[in-house]
Amino acid sequence: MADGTYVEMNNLTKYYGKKLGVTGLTFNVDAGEVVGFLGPNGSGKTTGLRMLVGLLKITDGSARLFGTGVAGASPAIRKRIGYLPGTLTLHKNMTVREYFEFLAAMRGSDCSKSYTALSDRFGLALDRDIASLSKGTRQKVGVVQAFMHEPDLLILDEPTSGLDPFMQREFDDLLDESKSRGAAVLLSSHVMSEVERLASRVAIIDKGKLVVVEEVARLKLRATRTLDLEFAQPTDPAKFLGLAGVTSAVAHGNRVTVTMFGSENEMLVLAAELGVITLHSHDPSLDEIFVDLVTESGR
Amino acid sequence: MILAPLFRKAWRDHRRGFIGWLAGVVGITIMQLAVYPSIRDSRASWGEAMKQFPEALQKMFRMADYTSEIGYLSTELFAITLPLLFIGVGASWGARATAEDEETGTADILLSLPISRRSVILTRMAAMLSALTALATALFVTLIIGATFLDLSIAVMRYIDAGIVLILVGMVFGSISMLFGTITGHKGAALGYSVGLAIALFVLYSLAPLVSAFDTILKFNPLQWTIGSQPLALGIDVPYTLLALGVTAVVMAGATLMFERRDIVA
Repeated sequence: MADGTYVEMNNLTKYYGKKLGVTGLTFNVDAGEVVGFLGPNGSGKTTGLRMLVGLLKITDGSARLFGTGVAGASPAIRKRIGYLPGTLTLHKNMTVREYFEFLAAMRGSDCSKSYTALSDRFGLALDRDIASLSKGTRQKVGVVQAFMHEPDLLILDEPTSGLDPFMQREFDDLLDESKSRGAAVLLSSHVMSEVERLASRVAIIDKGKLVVVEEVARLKLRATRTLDLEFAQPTDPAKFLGLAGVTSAVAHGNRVTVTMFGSENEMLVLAAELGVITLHSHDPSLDEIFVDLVTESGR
Repeated sequence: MILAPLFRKAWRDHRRGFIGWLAGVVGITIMQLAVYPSIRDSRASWGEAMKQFPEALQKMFRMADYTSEIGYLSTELFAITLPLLFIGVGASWGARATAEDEETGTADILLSLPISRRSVILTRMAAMLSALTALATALFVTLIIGATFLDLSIAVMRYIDAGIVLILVGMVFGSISMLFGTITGHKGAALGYSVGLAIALFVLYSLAPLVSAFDTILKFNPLQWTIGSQPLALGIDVPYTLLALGVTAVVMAGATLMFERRDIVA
């Protein structure tokens, strides 16, 4: 294990009786890193995260947090974890402040400064009854409780669900700050743009099976994308077909549309030699990559 | 192992319900005490009336010596009414002990804290015991005040014995309810099964003097180990009390193991 590896999953597997939850989860999360855990609804993201927190028993394989196996680990290991469940339910017969106080007391730490500051940032009124809060506001409470003890590891299940765009931005900043102080973050989402924005690596899961673990930048490079080249005169598209990564090239008048994957270097050199005037690249979103990968995986 | 904030929270969550149970216990006790002078004053005619009362029912309700202080209080309070109330409290606190957090989903954050599941269930057991003890204390105070007014001659120790037995009967069924809660993860199921079992055992217990088959199995009935030992008249029956304590401890250990080893319902 590298020193800064906070989460290690090795063939982590969960069956609910005979029904598959997830199988073969194998990836790490390092200190100072945000890893996105992507998958369609019901693909097993929550199952994976709940095993890490110790809510579900592991059927096979192993999960280690801070170098210690989750199964049989002392609960003290969770002092260093902040967890936001995917289906968030808060104790209702308390005010927000009482709830934070309760959690802090259970953690045996004083978090009053921290939760007050975080609540300010998210515009959360501490003296309101939790029962009276809207879904979005409850989600803010969930976010604050996960961050308020400045954990080394954040396990966040669909963290921005229900947050408005302003609050999402605040959340992004908070995540950046946590990353800067060296925290590791594993966050699940089915919103690709969110993961693209926040994570440096993604683990994609479908039907309980890991499809790929890759850096976001590399994943995008691997993906098929389209480039529109405009020339001063009609140009033979066949000239592009022999280049590395080009899968098709079609001419429409003075334009050539090239579909390709991998490095664009050779293609750009040739286009420049042929006197390209403009170039439009339709960068694939993680969304498209995700759909491609999941389709490939046998959906 | 007892988590003070969680213990306080258990009380906070139960306070409304507890006030209801408390009012029930104290109210019914006062009511029954208030009626006693008229029974005592008409002892002779009650004695005649009791002779007319079917023997089967007398046995069922353990009504021996009804007009005496101990006989009256045993029949009216300690035979059925108070045990049922204490069982109600135990079953309700037991059912909510772990199943409520699971059912509502609050368990996810609670159990992500640096605490063990064992300490959570132990804290909830302690809270249940404290509730039953508080109820028994309120009952004791009511009985002592009532006894002073009515000039009853029952020894103070007998009230304590009877209170301890009520706590014990509450703990027996509270732990059973807790066990069902840890098996099913559902509060309603835990409450239903445990109260259902209590009622079934009550029927067997009540009919035991009339049906020989039930009488044979009476010694296996937790109600016989507790209220069946007639604590107000005879004091605590040590072997039966130890048996009830032992069974409660075993059931609680089972609940703890079940809770520790299971997946938390999502």
